[in-house]
Amino acid sequence: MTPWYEGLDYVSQALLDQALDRLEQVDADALPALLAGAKKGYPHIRKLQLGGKVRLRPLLCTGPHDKREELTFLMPAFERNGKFDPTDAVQQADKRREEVESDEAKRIPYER
Amino acid sequence: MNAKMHERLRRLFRDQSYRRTYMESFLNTAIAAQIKALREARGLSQKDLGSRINTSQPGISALENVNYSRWSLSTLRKLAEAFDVALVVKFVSFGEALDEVTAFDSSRLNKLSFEEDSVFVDDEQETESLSSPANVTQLSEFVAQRSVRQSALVASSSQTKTILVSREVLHG
Repeated sequence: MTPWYEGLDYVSQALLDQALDRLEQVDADALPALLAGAKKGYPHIRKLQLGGKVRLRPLLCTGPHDKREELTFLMPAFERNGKFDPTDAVQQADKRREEVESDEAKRIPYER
Repeated sequence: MNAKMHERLRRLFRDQSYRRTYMESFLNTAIAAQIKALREARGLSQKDLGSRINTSQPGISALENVNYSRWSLSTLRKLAEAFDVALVVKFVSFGEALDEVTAFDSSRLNKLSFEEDSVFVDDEQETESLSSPANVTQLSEFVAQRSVRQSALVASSSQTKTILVSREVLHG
């Protein structure tokens, strides 16, 4: 469990858990509009679109090692009026994706 | 059933706001995913389906969005009719809901239309028409097609992903 997750209220935790549970069970293509491109120029980064009052937008990528079997949670973020909080969330996520791609030890199974 | 997920949710569902939000979000997700799967399995575009239930293409697109929650029973009835499937709406305990949630997979999304449903094939009539030598080829084709369909359902049900996390998130 991450400190970021622990800081969310129960409603936000439930929305996030529900989305990740479904992504574990079925292919993202079967879950329309759950994952979307995060920002132009960052083709590998996807944002998880969750409902609710707080616009949670965790940033993920498929793979990067096995694109069919894995999703990696890269960066917690929020989106307000079309802008990410933190503002450089997508850039940070992309940097982390590159790090994880070059070194598998930089990621671990997401235990919840 | 995913035992690990079941155990985790059994613990978290003790909080009322958590379980309510989780199940509402699951319902929206499952409905959107099932509408899309049923539509695609029948070879329909969003526009085709819209014309069947007197809704616009953007209306169908909205119904297929996992975050959409304003669908009505009336619309779901029309969709069931368009797909030639039954609609079942029922109240269940959270314990039963947990079983449903943890068993969710691709094979649960598409459902056969009445015409494809083997339950309603008239066995006597089918045996009679397929027992003549001229129909042996038809019979083997019928068996082969059913076998392919079942294999496809099994294959699609095994699509599971592993969720990983960057260590940076953990340290954040």
